[in-house]
Order: sequence, then C-alpha cells, then structure tokens
Amino acid sequence: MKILALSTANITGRIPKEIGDCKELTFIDLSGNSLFGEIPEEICRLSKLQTLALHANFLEGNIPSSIGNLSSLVNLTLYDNKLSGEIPKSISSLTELQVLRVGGNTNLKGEVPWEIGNCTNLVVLGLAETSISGNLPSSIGMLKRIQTIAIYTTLLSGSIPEEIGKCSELQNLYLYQNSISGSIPRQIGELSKLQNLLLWQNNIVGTIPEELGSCTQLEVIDMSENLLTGSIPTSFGKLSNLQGLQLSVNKLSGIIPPEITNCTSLTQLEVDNNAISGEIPPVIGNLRSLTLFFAWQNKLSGKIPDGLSQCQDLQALDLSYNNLTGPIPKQLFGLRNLTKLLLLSNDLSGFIPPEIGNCTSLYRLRLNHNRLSGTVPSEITNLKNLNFLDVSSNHLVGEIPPTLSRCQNLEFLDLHSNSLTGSVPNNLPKNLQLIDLSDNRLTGELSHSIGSLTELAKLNLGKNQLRGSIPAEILSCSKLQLLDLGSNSFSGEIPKEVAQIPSLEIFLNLSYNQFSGEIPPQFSGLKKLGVLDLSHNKLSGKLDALSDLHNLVSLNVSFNDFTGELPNTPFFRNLPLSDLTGNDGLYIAGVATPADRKEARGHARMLMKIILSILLSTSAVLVLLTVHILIRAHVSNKVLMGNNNWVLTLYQKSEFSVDDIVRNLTSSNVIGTGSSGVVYKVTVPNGQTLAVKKMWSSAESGAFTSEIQTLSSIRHKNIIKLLGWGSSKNMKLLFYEYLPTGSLSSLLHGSGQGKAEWETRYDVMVGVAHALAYLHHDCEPSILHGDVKAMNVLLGPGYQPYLADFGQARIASENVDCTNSKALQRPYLAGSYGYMAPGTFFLPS
Amino acid sequence: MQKITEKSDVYSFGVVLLEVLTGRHPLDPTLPGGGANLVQWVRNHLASNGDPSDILDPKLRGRSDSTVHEMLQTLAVSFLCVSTRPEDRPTMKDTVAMLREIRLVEGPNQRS
Repeated sequence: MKILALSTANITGRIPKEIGDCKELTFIDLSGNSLFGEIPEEICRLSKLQTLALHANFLEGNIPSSIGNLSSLVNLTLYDNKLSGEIPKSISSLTELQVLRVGGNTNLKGEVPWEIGNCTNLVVLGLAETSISGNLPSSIGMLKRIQTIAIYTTLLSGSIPEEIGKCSELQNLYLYQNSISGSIPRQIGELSKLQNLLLWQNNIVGTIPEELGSCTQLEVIDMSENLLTGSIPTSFGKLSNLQGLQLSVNKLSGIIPPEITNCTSLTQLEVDNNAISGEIPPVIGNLRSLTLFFAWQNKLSGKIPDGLSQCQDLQALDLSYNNLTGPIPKQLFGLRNLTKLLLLSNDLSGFIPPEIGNCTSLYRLRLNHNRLSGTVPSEITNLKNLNFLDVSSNHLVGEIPPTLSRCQNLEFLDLHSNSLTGSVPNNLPKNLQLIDLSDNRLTGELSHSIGSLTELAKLNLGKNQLRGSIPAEILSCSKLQLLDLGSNSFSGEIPKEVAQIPSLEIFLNLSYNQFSGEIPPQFSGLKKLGVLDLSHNKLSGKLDALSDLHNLVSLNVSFNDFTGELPNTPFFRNLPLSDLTGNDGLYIAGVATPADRKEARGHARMLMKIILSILLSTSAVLVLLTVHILIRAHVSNKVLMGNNNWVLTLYQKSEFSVDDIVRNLTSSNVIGTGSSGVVYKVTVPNGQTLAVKKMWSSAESGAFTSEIQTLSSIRHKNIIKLLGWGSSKNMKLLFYEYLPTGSLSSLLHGSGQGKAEWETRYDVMVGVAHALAYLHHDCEPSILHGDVKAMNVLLGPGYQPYLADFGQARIASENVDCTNSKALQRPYLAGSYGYMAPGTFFLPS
Repeated sequence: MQKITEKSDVYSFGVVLLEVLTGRHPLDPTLPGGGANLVQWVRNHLASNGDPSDILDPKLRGRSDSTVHEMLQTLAVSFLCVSTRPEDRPTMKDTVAMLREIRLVEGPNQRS
C-alpha cells in the first residue's frame, strides 16, 4: 500500500501502531475524522512518507519526537487537534518539508524551535492559535522559499527579527494577537512580494517604516491596536494594490498624507483612535473604491471635504470626536450606498441640508453635539431605512417634522437639547424604542396616540412646556421602562394607568409639574421601580401607596401637599430630609412636628425667595441654569468640602465626614485588594461600618468613573450598593455597604470551612446569575461587568451574594457604531486571568 | 479576534460555577495532569468519559443522590457557559432559567 486516503470518512478510534509496518506508504490522509488518542511513534518509521495529513481530529499527546525520521516528508498537517507538548527539535531533519501546519492545538507550548531554519524548503508555516511563546527565531531568515507565516493568536513575544527581510518569497505575514514588542524592522521593506501584513493587537512601538512603501504588492496592512508613534508614511502612496489600511488605536500623529489618495484600490481606511491632526486631504475623492472610512477620535480640523462625495461606493463614514468645522457638505447625501454617517462631537455648523432626503440608504445618522442650526428638514422623512436618528445637542429650531412616521424603521429618535418648538407629532414611527425630546421648547398636549408606540422602552419629554394630562393610553406602551415628564406644565390627576405599565422599572419622573390629587393606589404595584420623583407638584393625601416599593433607590416627594404619617419602613427612615421637605402635613411616627423639618422648609422657602429675586433681575436663561444646578445638587447631595478641596457625593443620608474616613485608612484596617485599589473596613463615629476602596493612583480614574457611572445608575439586590464617593487631587475613594462574610472565593478556598454547603453555593450562584441577567438584559443600554470572578462576589451576613468591583464595567452598546472595527475593544481589554473567555487572553501586561 | 460582549461575562460566570462545584481555583497548579487550567481539566475529564462526580469538591461528597444530581446538572450548565465559541454560550437570562430549574423540583427556592 502506498496511499491511504480516508479523509472525512466518519472514522473514529485510534491510529493503530501497526501503521508503522506499511513501509511503502507515501501518502496518508486521515483528516476530518474523529480519531483520538496519540499519534503512534511508529508512524515515524515510514521513511518514504511524503504527506501526513491528520488535521481536524481529536488527537492528543505530543507530536512524536522522532518525526525527523520522516526524511521524505513534504506535507505535515496536524492542525485542529488537541495536541500538547512542544514542537520536536528533530523537525530540523525534514529538509524536504514544504508545508508545516500545526495550528489550532491550543495546548501546544514552547518556542518556535531555532532549528526550523533548516527546513529550507518550507513554503507554509502555520502555528496559529497555539500556546507557542518566546521570540520568533532569527533563523526564520533562512527560509528562502517561505510564502506564508501564520503565527497569530499565540503567546509570541519579543520583537520581529530583522532577518525577516531575507524571506524574499514571503507573501503573507500573520502575527496578530500576540505580545510582540519592539519596532517593525526596516528590512520588512525588502519583502517585494508581501501581500498581507497583519500585525494587529500586539505591543509594537516605534514608527511605521517608510521602507514599507517598497512592498508594492501589499493588499492589506493591519497594524491596529499597537503603540505605534510617528506619522503615516507618505511612501504608502506607492501601494497601488492596497485594499485595506487599518491603523486604528495607536498613537500616530501628523496628518493623513495626501499621497494616500494614490492608493486607488483602497476600500477600507481606518485611522481612528490616534492623535492625527490637520485636514482630511481634499483629494480623498480619488479613492473611488472606498467603502469604509473611519477617522474618529483624532485631532482633525478644517472642513469635511466635498470630494468625499466622489467615493460612490462609500457605505460607512465616521469622523466623530474631532475638531471639524464648517457645514456638512450636501453632496455627501448623493452617496447612494451610504448606510452609516457619524459626525458626532465636532464643531460642525450650518443647516442640515434638505438633500439628506436623497440618501435613502441611510440606516444610522448621528450628528449630535455639534453647532448645527436651522430646522430638522422634512425631507428626512424620505429615509425609509433610517433606524437611528440622533441630532441632539445642536441649535436646531422649528417643528419636529409631522410626517416623521414615514420613517417606518426608526427605532431610536434623539432630538434632545435643541430649541425645537411646536408639539410632539401625533403620529410617530411605530417601531420606536427610544424617544428623547427633552430640553426643547415643545408645547401642547401629549396625544392619545402615544399608546400606539408599543415597542417604546424609554420616553423622555422632560424640560419642555407640555401641558394637559397624561393620556391613559400610555398603558399600551407595555415595554416602557423609563418615563420622564419632569419640568413641564402637565396638570390634573396622575392617571392610574401610569402605575400599571408592567415594565416601568428604571425611572418615573413627574417632578416640576402641576399634578394634583392623590397618588393612585395602583402605585403600590411599581415593585421593580428604582427611582421615583414626584417632587414640586400639588399632590396631596398619604404616601401609603409607596410604602411597599422595595426596589426603590431614590424617592423624592418634596414640595407637595402630602399629609399623614410617613410609612414606617427602613427605606423611608433613611430618606434624606431634602426628599421629604415642603410637605406641611407629613410627619414621622412618634414625632409630632420635628423641628429640623420645619427648619429645612424654612431654608427651602428662603431658597425660593432668592430664586424669585433672580427671576426678577436677570435673564430667563440664567435662571434656568440656576434651577438646573439646584436640581442637580439636590439629586446627588453633592457637598463641596472647603478645606482640602474634597468633592464628596453621597447617594443616601449618611453622617460622616471625609476626615472620619481618611483617618481610618490604615494598614490594620485593610480587608482586601482589588484590581484597582485597596479596600478598608471603616467604622465612622455614629457606629456605621463601611467598606472604602482607595484607588491605587489617580491613573485609575477610568476604573473610578466606570464604577461610579455603572453603580450609581443601577440597583439590584445582588449587586453591591455604592453609598457614595469622595475625590480630591490626590485621593479617590468609593464607599460601599460593608459585607461581613467575605467573598465567595474565601468561602470556597479559605481556611474556615464554615458554610460551604451545596445549598449555600447554589443559592449564591443563582443570585450572581440574577445580577448578571439584570445587567445584560434589564439595563438599557446593557452593562458588561468585565471582571466576573469568585473574589468579586461578596457575601452578606446570611450569605446573600453581592456582585462587586465594577471598575472594568462598560456599556455594551457604546460599541454599536464600530461593529465592523476591532478598534474600540482594545482600551476595554481587561479582566482576570483564568476567568476570561478564550480569545480575550492576550493582555499587554 | 473575539468581541467583548455579554458572552464574555457568561464565560467568566461559567468558570465561577466550575470553581464552586470543584472547590478548585481556575488556575490550579495542583490539578491532576499538570494542566493548571480548571476549564481544560474539566473538559478533558469529561471528554475521556470520566465519572463527572469525581471532579466535585471533596467537601461536597457523600450527599444524597438527588443532591449529587443537582450538582451534576449545575455542572452541565457551567459547561455550556464555558463553550469556546461565544455563540454556543447561553444568555444570562437562559442561565438563570436553567439554574432555577435545577432546584425548583424540590420545592420553591424563595431565598431570593
């Protein structure tokens, strides 16, 4: 027998040792079966064997150490198995070998053997998706015939050897997702046949060598997610075959060289997340094949060139987070394939051109945070495919186009913080999930037709001049989680239907209106609601309907005409005074008319008088600003400490000073260290015990704000409660409730055996699962924790689990705009080794 | 490269579940076989048709058959969560449902 060809034949079992006796075999292909067990050493006796193809099986154990005996071997493919151990050094005897592919064996360890340089006939070297570590050996330069080197997603470190320049036949160099450091050797410019150069996600420093411009066969350059500095080489202009240039998430500076527009084959140009300045070359229109251009998060200035409209295939354009000025060129909307146009957070001015209506392919349009003026053109209603429309935080005036309902695919509509007038359109697109029209000058009543928006999850109409009553039809918006009608002129009774919306969980704000009457008894059904603000209305009666809302984190009923006894629950007892003040008839059980409450009301009256006097003396704008600041201060209880420039924010009533805390940050009080800081147990003078996390350094401000932003906006019984935070120039502190029982990790692995019973463990894990399900599915946008591990599951006195450490947490949908880019992920790569999913292991540190 | 998504949290959750079931650290150099990786160790053990109850935390042994059954069902859930391909991992909502199912049979678990 000379040939054994049984690929994809559903064979299972082991490779028999006896195969070593078939001495005449020249060709073995057993790939794509279900073979398991080890590769028998005996196979190495087949000295005439030219092809050994065992890929795509379940083979385990080592690659036979005497593989070097297969002196006639030309093709060796062992990829996609479960092989472990190292690559045998005897491989150097395989001088005829042309194809060596052993990738996809995740437990294959050790270095690329130096001896590989002896396999001088090698054409393909594949070691991807293994645990290969160490340097790429300089002997690689001896491989004069090598065309493809694929060593991606491994643990390769060190720098790329200069000798790579001697691999004169090299076409494909795939070294992405490693820990390669050092700079790119200039000798790479000698690779005249190089087509694909993929080096993304490494730790490569230095500049991009100008010499690369000599590799005129290059089709794809991807160096994203490295630490590259300097500018984009002008020599790239010589790469007439270049289709993809990806340099996202580096530290590149300088300009986008106009020479790049000579690369007329270019379809994808991604230079986002760098420090590139200057103008976008006006001749960019020469890139006639361009489909995707990302340059967001740079320092670009000047105008958006009209010439972009010549890139007729352009599908996605993202120039957000730059300093671009001038108008949006109307010619852009002649692009028939444009689906994503993202220009947010620039300094763009002028009108939104009516030509926008011609660009019917548009799916996602974000022009927010610019200085756009004029109206929202009614032509926008021609955009039948539009899914996401965000023109918030501009200077737009006029009405919301009444025919907006023609945009049948619209799901997100954000027009907040403009100067829009007129009423909320009667007919809105039926698939809308989010409507934010807040902070405008809208008038009129809210129509009954609001009930037809059955997909709506968030409705924010706050800070307008809307009046009338809330239509009972709001009940049909059964997916509504957030309803903000605050700071309007709504009146009448609060309809019971508001409280019957089954998914109203996040936020109900009816404050600063003219609502009257009693709180409907149906409010007792808002069991999942987190924040309720009824302040500054004319509501009367008792608060009993609110006594059972055990998911409430924040409640404000101040400045109404509520009467009667305050519900006697821990939540109400801990409410800050400021959330109850201004209700004459409200009292706490056993305390007839508490003096401090009266006093507080006195202060509030004084405050109102001051505001009134301002009203009489200055412009309305200033007053709005003042009221705004007052509301903000009221919401977060912000206290500015005079002495050491501390900013202290507490989310609930607590009686301690920064001094009480700082004094106790001693080594004897340390109870743990986390990824971002040290945790202390601190007992303040009134006896309350807190856990205080002191961030490692001010460099941890990312983790600090991440923790504040996520934890302050969510509430769940299995998620640690953030009580507040303090920040000074030198120190950042986070305050949590103190949990006495330690972490799940100490429960499992600690010395005290204690209650590690199955039932306890199971209950803990169900609680953690609930917390994560809440973050992923009930928060909008959803939140990723990013560092789930046993040490971050804290336990209460009855072993109730609390998910903690949100320093790595992130909003999931912030990445929405970059789904076809690797870009945004790099800054977020974090987590704990051993708990991270495969493919996220490759950390810089 | 794999995108960081909810499924990355699901994987980590699966690792914690394995840790709870086996009583071993996710990176445990004392694991039999020398692999030091808990997920891989469990995978290898199951792939080689080993008795799944052998990998349970010794502190959890000697329990009633029904309790051991619960642990093994939980092991199955954790195994799903640590699937290599993110699309093979369940969502957290599904994970909650599966976990609750495991002990619901014995009477409502109203701890939470």
